[in-house]
Amino acid sequence: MSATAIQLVGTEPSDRRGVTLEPETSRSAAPASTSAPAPKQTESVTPTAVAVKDLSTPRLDLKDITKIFHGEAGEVVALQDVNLVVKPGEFISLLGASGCGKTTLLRIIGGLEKAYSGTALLDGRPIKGPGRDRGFVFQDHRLLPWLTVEENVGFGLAHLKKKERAEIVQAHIKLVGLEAFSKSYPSQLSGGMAQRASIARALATDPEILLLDEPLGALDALTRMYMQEEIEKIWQAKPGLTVIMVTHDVDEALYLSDRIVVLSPRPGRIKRIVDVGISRPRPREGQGFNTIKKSLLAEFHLSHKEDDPEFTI
Amino acid sequence: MSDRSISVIKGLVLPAVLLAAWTLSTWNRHSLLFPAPSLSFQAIAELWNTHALQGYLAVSLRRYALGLLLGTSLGFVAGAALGSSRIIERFFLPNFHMFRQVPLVGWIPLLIIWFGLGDLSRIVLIAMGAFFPILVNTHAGFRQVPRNYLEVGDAFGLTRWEKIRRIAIPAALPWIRSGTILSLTFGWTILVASELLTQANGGLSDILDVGRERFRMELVNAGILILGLLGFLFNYAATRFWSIGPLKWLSQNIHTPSKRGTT
Repeated sequence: MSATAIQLVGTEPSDRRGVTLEPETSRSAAPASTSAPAPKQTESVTPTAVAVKDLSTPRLDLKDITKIFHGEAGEVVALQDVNLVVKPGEFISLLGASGCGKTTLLRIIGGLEKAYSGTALLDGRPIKGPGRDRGFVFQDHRLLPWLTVEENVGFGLAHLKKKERAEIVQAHIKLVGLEAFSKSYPSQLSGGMAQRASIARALATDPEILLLDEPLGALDALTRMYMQEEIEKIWQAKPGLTVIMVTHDVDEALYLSDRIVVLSPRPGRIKRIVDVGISRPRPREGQGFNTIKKSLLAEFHLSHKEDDPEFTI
Repeated sequence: MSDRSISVIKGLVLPAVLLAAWTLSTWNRHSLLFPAPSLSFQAIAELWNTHALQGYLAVSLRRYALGLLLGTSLGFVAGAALGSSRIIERFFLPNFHMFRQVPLVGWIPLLIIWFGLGDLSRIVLIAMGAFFPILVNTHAGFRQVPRNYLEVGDAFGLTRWEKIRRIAIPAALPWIRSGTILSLTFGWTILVASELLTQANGGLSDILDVGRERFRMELVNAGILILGLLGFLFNYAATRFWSIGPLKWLSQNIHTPSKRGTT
């Protein structure tokens, strides 16, 4: 790997694409931009660098987010000076090892974590708490066991009239392909189906941002890959939907994301932001894929071949 | 034959054997202390035909229903309040536990002075008996509502009240079920105890009283049989109600192809 061929972080403002890759991916780079029409914005790793202003208002604008947990073992800096700008329609992955604060960051965006310093703006307005403009999918599906799939999917729609609610619920059950299970209870679903129902529940309120907290972490490897394709389809079926996904699976991040935000632990901070310029639907291997993967794994001090369960579950 | 009917038959074996033994031992002779079961059945039929039983039932069931209604609703509200607020819990839980230590029949003299020897005393006593089981269970049920479920409510921006109504109560229902069934059973016991306070009170215990006074053991046995059957019936009905109604979801864990635990 030559350092000049790969430029994972755009250093010049004129660089529209953070990742400049070998010919194979350069060719496929153009169609990829259709999923994120706005020119790619480049962020720098160093907190001092100013992010380049895009003309479109960012969907999400995080400035100097710092979160400290006060536990019995003293203070733990979960996040330090995190700056991130997310454009409408982007698919972002927060990638990092356990304890890097990626879930905390997602929870701050979701409004579930309140005591932090810095500003978190959603469409220019400060995030004050949870809301229907964000859909949250937890690692464990958290479907309520006493409700059927359709009742779970309609959970956030209690304010609507019955008929309107039923229409939205059916549309979302169809979106995730669970038509045959709409009357089933969560305990009757497989892990993958339950997580699809959970995604449908989060999307039913028509949020602008879908927040996925390691949604596939509890699934087996094959179901994971299938679900990654499902998530991509769902994202593409909802134009303008921004997705922020927490993962510790490099392949998953590479398969799905427009940009991968690499976080490093203790204190949790953004180490690098990687623009994945591979066209969709993406191959799960190939030179472009492998080059970025190699470089990402190097961030975690792993060689490409190594199989450390901590990072490649 | 279904598993269910087999288990019903198994459960009926012992009573059938006892009944047969009793019948055989009283065959062709009259015993004052152990009259033949058939005499008790005749007594029940007679009570029914003279409409005496219907009258006793109406009086007793009214006391029971009012006492249960009062006790379980107050117990549920108190348990839910204790379970959803740490402050309320700290202030009131020790007091509830203290009151609970007083044996229920220990309240009877006080109740008689306050409410007299009429139905009000009985209803209050039944209510007190029904109050604590449902309070303790509702409280425990609310305490164990998974935080994760409440967080789903947070993620959808639910208010505290909405979270109680839409998440905490349904999640606590298995405990609330146990509480209601215990209250039902305990309340039935207290009903009979409260009725035996005064004679000729118009309730089912009059059958026992009359039988005892006139030394008609078959009538006493008939009264016991009626009380036992009704208690069993209420318990069965309550259990059925929960398992085919609000807790149907608990019995639906049939098909789990590749369900993984959460990590």
